[in-house]
Amino acid sequence: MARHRKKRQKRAATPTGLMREMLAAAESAAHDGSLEIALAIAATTDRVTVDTTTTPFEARPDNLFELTFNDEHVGLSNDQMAIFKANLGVLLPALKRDIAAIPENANLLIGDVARLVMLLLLREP
Amino acid sequence: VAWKPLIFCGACALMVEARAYAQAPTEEYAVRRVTAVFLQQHTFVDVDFTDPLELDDEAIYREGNVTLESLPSATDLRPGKPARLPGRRMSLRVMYAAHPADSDDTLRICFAEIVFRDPAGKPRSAAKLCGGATILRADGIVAAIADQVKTLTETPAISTELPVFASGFLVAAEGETEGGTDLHLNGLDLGLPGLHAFLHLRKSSAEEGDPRNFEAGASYRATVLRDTDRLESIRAQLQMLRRAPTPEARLAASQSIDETMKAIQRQLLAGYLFDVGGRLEGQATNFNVTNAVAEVSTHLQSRTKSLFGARRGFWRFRVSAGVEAGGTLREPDEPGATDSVSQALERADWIARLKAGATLTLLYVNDGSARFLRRLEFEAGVVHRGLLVEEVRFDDVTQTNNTTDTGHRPYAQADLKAYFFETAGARYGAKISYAYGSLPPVYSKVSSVQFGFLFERTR
Repeated sequence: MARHRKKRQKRAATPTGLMREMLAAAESAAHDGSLEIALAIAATTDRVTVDTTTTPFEARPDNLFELTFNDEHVGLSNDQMAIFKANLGVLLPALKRDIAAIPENANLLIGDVARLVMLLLLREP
Repeated sequence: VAWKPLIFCGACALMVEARAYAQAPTEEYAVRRVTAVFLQQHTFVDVDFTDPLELDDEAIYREGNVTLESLPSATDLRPGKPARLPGRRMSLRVMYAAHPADSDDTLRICFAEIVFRDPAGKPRSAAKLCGGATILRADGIVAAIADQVKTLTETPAISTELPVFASGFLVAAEGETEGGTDLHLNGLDLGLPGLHAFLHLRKSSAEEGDPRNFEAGASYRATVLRDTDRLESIRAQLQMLRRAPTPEARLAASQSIDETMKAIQRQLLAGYLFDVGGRLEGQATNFNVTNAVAEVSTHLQSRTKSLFGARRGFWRFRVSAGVEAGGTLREPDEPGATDSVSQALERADWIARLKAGATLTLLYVNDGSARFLRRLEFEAGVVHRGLLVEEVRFDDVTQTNNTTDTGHRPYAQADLKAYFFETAGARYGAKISYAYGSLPPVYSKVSSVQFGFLFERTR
């Protein structure tokens, strides 16, 4: 009886091929720095929220990375870009020097900054 | 400072402003960019499309929808199913299992079917969409980073923020044609993190509308966060989230992150900014008075807060205080001259000022309940300088710099923009600006209102 239960539990815990692919993609997304960027923005503006209880995480607005920092749905100023960069430096301390080089220009596309951070993380050993 | 009656603009101006708000859909329904990564632990392809996807449509994720090959060997890379990326409506990520041949340098991805969402919100299917990219390997990462940094530094900075703590501007006119310039170049990258150059020019031919202000210099900025401890806690929880051995541990870590973030979002202040810099300030545009000024200032920067707790707008503010010190570079044309202008220049040697100021930004976006008003933007800034030693002052009666003075020099400016019509690519409205006070180096009095119609591109 106990052996059967153990077998059932093992089967239930084993992901299907589709689930594996989805989890792999979700894990990949979780490690590309986009979550840290979303959190660093949310720490600067109430307009952006992040839900990390889902996999992958959910950001509001749901097209956050396709907006600029000064978009009305984000609401950052050039001065607040310095705050965002400092937030991101705390969340990704290994990249602090590289993050400091990001221009304090709220007209930047968030996705462009995310792409830079992804490349910087790929560079890390 | 004596109060002067306001001057209302006789001729209304048409103002054109441009902002890049979002990665705008192009209605091309195609692949925009492919990023193909092949590294030791990372084998994925990110595909950016030109338009938003219908992300809930099963057709995008069905078996066999994606083919992926590396070229020129035409190796099948055995792609998985496309996955959505958080915070993106126009992108997909595809993981792959096989390795490209060593001689391959290009990757080609094709989708049998992609379902887009058109501007009307209806699904629009596109068949056989393909794109390609150079394979990003370990030896290409540094060059890719350099390219991306270039993309960021070349993005134009469009600032609608009032640089009033540095200065301010307006135009006044009454029954005659008046002109002026208001040029602000901020955040010019000098290649060193934290170091920025700036240039401000405010000049007008209008009486009581000319600040006669020119400033150019550089400053270094340091940032101190208000919530470093909470962010460090989030960083620790992120590590736990990624290494969590069980779903329960994962959930506990993510709940802790979300709770900590909510605590941060309840705060009003985001951090403190410290600026140290130097600048040349001159009487625009003849430089009859020119000062070299060093400045140390600190700013309390708020977070961006939702307007009245709603999602329809936001507000933010910044409070500043600082010290300015320096010297006058301009000497009298002839030593010992007895005319009033020369004597004023003779008396003014050093600069010592205290200053304090604040800016407030407010945005309201109509949710459809108001019939005409689509959007309202308000921005106000004030700076108050206390002159500790005598400085040259412009005399409005004689139109010369023939006096010197100490004391208080306030300057305030406010802009109100109201938008009444909006299309997919632009919005139309009116703007009214008010300014009062005086700015260095000659403290020419300004008191005026400007009104104009506004056309603003949103793409």
